Amino acid sequence: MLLNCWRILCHCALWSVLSIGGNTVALSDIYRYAVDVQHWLTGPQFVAFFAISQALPGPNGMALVLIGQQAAGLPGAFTALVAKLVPSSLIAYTGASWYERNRERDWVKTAKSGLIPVTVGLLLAATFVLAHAVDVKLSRILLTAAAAFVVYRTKWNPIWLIFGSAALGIISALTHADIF
Amino acid sequence: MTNAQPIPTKLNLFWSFVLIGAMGFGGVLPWARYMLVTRRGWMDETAFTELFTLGQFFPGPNVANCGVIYGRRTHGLAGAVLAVTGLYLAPTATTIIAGLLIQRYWSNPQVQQVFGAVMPVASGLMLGTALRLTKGIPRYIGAVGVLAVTFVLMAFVKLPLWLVLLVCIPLSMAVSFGHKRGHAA
Repeated sequence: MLLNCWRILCHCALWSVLSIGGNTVALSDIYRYAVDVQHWLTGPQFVAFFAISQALPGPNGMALVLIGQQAAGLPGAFTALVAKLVPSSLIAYTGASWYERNRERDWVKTAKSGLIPVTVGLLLAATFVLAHAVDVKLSRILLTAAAAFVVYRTKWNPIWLIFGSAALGIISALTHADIF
Repeated sequence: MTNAQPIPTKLNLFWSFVLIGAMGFGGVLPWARYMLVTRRGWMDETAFTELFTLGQFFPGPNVANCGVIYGRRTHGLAGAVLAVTGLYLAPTATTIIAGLLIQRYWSNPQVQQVFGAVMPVASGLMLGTALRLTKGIPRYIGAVGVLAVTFVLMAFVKLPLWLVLLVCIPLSMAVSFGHKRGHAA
């Protein structure tokens, strides 16, 4: 368990520093490491953790805490939390005044817009990995497509989609239809 | 912006971020804006937008970064620690409880049905968000190429993230600065 805590510590700290443009850009790397390399959890469990962290109140990126908990119990959960927060917070703490002084410079603006294609590419890769792990039935593929369409075309709060799908799942379970 | 905006006490700062974290259904950003601007009046809309842009610039969770930056501005290191600790207090508790529940009931077939519906939708949310963001990609072939290379290296070649960034960030910078020079000339 201690070894797993150490692995969580190192990797969460790395993801914390590398997650330029938000937590989700590191998601496919987290999947690669936690599911493919360490076998701490299965692909569907990974996506379930991600879904739970989206549905619960609070900041995104809490899926790492769930993964830490799965790998090494409560110590793993707290290790993941601290390791994912401290490095990025230190960067923000020390970098904030530098950025405020320099953000109008041309090269800072160009560098910033240069990061966008990388961030979006990583986000698409994360989507691909998630969908690949769970969309094993036609009914699930249709749900993914419908949710993507709603997010792309409307301004609805995504939380209602999560709750709505949970309701669909409960109906499916209670009627023994086993659609999903 | 006025200088007359009130400075919160440490306890007030901590408690406000506890509330932001506890209420933050569907992302904490709207709640952070509501708390800091509307309810407490610690800053105006413009100042909040600036704070958020700043938080987004750095790696890690945006709103946590906002907490760090605002906490530092008002109470230095203690303020930054108080804001982030407050923000994560309630979400950590609920997440750990959810983790214990799911470990216990994961193999239950009814639970599997519920997650069978929830997981594809969560993937769809990500897909929709990613598609929306593709609209913000600079409209030239180099930028689209960088996006494609990043995607393939991460999703299909399955390289570690640090390696992908090591390849793609310099590539993207070269493309971005090259494009800018091409337009200036």
